[in-house]
Amino acid sequence: MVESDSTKHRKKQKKRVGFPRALLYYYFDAMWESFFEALGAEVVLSSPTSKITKDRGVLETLDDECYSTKLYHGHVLELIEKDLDYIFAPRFASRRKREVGCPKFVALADILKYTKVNLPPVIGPYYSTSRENHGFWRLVIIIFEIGFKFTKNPFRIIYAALKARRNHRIAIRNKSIDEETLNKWENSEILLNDAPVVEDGETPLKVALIGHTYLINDRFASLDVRQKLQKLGVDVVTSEQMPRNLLERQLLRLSMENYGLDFSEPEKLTKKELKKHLLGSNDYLYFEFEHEIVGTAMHYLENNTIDGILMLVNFICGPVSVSMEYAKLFAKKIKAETPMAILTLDAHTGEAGFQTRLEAFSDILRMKKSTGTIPESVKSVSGSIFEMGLS
Amino acid sequence: MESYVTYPHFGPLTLLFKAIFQELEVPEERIINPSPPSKRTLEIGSENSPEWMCTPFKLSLGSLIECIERGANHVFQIGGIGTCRASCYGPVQRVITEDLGYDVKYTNIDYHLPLEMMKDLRSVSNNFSAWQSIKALRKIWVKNYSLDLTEHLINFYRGVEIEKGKTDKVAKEVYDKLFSIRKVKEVKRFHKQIPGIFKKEVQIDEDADPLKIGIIGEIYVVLEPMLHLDLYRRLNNLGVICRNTVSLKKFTDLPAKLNPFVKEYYKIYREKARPYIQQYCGGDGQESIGATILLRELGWDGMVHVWPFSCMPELSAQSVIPSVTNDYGMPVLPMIVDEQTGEAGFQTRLEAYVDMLKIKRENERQGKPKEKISWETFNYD
Amino acid sequence: MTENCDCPKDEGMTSTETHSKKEMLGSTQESLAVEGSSNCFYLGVDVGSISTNLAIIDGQKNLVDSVYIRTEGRPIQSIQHGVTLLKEKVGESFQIHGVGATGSARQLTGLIVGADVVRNEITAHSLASLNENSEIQTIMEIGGQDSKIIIIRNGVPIDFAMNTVCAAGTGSFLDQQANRLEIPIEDFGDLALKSDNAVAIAGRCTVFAESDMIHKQQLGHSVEDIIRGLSEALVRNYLNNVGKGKDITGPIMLQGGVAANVGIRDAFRRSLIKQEKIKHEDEIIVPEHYDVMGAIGVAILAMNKMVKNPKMKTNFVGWQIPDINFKTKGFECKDCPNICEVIEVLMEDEVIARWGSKCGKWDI
Repeated sequence: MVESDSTKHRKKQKKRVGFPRALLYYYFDAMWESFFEALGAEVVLSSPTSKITKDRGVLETLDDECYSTKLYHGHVLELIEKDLDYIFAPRFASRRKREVGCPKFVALADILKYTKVNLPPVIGPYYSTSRENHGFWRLVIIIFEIGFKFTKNPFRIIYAALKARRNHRIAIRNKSIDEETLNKWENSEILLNDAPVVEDGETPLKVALIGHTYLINDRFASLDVRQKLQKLGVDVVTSEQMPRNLLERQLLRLSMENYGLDFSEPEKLTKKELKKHLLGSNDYLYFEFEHEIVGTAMHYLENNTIDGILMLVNFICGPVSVSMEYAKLFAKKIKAETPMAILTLDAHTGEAGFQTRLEAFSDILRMKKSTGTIPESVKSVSGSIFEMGLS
Repeated sequence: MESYVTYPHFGPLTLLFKAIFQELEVPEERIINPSPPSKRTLEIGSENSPEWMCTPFKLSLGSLIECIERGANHVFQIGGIGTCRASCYGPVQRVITEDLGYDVKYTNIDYHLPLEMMKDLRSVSNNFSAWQSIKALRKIWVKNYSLDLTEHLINFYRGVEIEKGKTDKVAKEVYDKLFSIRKVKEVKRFHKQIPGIFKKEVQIDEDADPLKIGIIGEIYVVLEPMLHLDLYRRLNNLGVICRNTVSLKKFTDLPAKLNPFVKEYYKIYREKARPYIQQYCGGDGQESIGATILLRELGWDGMVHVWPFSCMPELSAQSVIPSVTNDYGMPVLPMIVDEQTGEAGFQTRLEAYVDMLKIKRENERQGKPKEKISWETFNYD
Repeated sequence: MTENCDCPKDEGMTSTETHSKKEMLGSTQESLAVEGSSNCFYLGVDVGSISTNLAIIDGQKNLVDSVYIRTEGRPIQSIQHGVTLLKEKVGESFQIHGVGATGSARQLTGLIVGADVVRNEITAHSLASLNENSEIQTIMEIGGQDSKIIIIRNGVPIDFAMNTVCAAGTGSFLDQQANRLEIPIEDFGDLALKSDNAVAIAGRCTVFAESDMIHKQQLGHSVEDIIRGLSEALVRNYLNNVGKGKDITGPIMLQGGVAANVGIRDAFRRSLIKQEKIKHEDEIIVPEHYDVMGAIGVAILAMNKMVKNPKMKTNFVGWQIPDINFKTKGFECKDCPNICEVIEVLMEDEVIARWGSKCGKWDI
């Protein structure tokens, strides 16, 4: 009954493109949105993750999928009901020569196609620099291929692409903080978030919250961890906020030291030298989105400038299993003083258990802050790394 | 410091790796060959690995640690830039063995780059020139053909042999012969004889009506008996002939890569899989789907999909496989393995699957007579 | 749903009969078509981890008598006990013409009773269910330690799944929680029906469910509501673990020990209707002998084999099974680092079988 009405209505309307609010959206939100909007499309976002999203996603996916993928499917199911012309699910493999994303991203569009009924046509451009040597020209092809679905005007497409690029850069700049600000924060001169709730005479704890952007920024999936930490008197810096060059420096050291290549300032090496050393050893953490996780962890484990590190990870996430191991072994190797907690999330995580773990961790941090060390009773059991398991 | 080279165990291909170092003229006493993995190997590996790491990582780590305990100090492992976690094996295992207190050098081989691979291997050789090492490695990939062929022959003959155990005996003789030959020409000549040897030695049951089942999945699990719980033998014992659809040739078959007229087997699979998974998603995910389609078209009865718990590419394939089954009528039995997989449930599922396929085949045949079995009709290479 | 399914169509009934020689490969329809004489009797023994079931059928596949007892981790004793009970029911002179063994202990069982057919429980269950009702599309079996789903189209099993790792979708889940609540498991179903407001219990796994259940108890929920919540958690786990991605349609046959539980049946009905898998409650069928279906199935298989090979004599050891002294002995073979646990079966102190080694050198 409504259908004939809406189709008539739609003729005049803009074409509607749906974005699932999950996974890669959190990295490229500004770029995608401004691109499609500038092309004259109407961007339809799925609503923020909720229990309904989760329940539907869990029903739809295989058990062994990670929590975030399950949520992605939940978001797609919501979008299907929204009467869309297209759904945007890029086959993103890698954007740099020596870095790749999660292999699941490449097959997501295909999986949607074969597991969802009534799915609108998928816009799923494939982009892989590391395998297929994709670069500028591939990007141009993708841009025009998508563009012509919405407009016949090539100039409008170019305009949209440029606008998307600019907005993406601005967004990246806004997300991360520079080293100077970070230094100030580490020295407790400034706060990065709303003032944490602390008792009189106490100072806020400084904690690095490490995890994938799509987990930390999803309030439902992360069980509102930032709010919870704020109420526990904790001020956080997230791994996505960390300055890029600081992270890359850490990463270079990760693989180089073992091959007798100890450079005090690896960022000063020329590109050619870098390539030579890295290729020669074939030893490089090539998961792009793990760089911020390992880099941040290493930075704070080593510098001891903050009170604690909280790592929030998805159960059974493939790339994280690697980066977590790097971070843990690094802490062990340098006998790190800064306590690091690893909290694992999945679709069944209960609010109560999660809160208890956060409280326990913040208590340990406070004790350490007042006495200078982690209490012996705690330390003898778990050292400075607290694997708090699935909650 | 003298270097004692080692490498992880990798199913039947272990023989091949061993031959690589022999051909490069590394002195025999400096090659520490991994022994077939045991439960202990898997236990050491799992103990020292991240919990959700894929099972092949755990097994290969266990295998390496065992070798390091026996005196090895130079490890050859996969590395470089990959798509899934496979290329992390070397780098992460380096950090882990370092943490365990071993002083070990790692040479991480990027299997995507055959030329780089050659360079890395050359570094341990007896001062070989580039040409010499190419010549040495040529023997290896020629032997790889024979090794693959022998594997296929075993899985065929063992399913229909009359005298139980005969195939294994013959296979052992073939392997021994193959790895004692040093000249490429002779290897090539021997390669042609292998099917004949099996045909002559192993008497097959002419009345048998075996099911034909293909094995797809992650390469390490498909090839390593410790991980697939001797799947091939179990199937053979149920009167099924089977074959694996992955091979190391995918990476090492340099002549096929250089020859524009040869279509590599994995490319055929990938093309078949394209409607289902458009782009390469790491590991053997695409190949798993392509092989299912190809084997259905060749009239095979079913597939067993083995993959390690938490494997990302195979998980993607697994999500799409029900649609393939639906479209082509090819049943696929998923078997996720990890260090805790129980044998009883594994066996029950295999038996039930074989029962199911037999019923399906009876119905499809509609009383048509069965095909006569022979290696020639079975082999599709 | 059946239109887009490429499974073979049900036309091969007559043509398949030409393959009578291959009764080991026999198709379901064929197996069901076979009938023996009505005064021949066949025994099926299904030894699972939780229960041991014995069933005797006659040549028309009617159940003559059955026994359902707990295995309690001692398969040999429970088989002997089961045979004793059955003997008391039918009398010592009762003639058995064929025996089949199934269940997770089928290998051992086959040895002890002298089975003519040893088959896996999935085949046995689907055969028994199709014998009961040829219309069914789905079989759901919830056992003590594992649970299964079998998808049937046109009378042919086309897909199945089995859960062997996680206890969350199995009967032992309910058993544990019943222990914890100190309520006999038999009362669970009726109590669950008394509730009209299920408590949501997070049930990824028994351990988590237990802690969540305690939490809910502390909050003051009534026992009935909690029990109903548990039943729904089990059904949810089952459908999410075993039934995920399977094309579940009615009529559905529910079997296994847990099917006795009215609360579970009710939870299944509600949840399947909610998921639009079935339209009406009647589409869930619980067969009369839901608890011994595996035994019936394998008895049918034994009958098939005997009817097709009239000259064959059964290997049945006889009703004296309880009097024979069977023992199992395990030892660890330390010849290689695999350290296999080798099991020896002794009959009157004589080794009749050995298995468990990877290399096969101990096998008899």
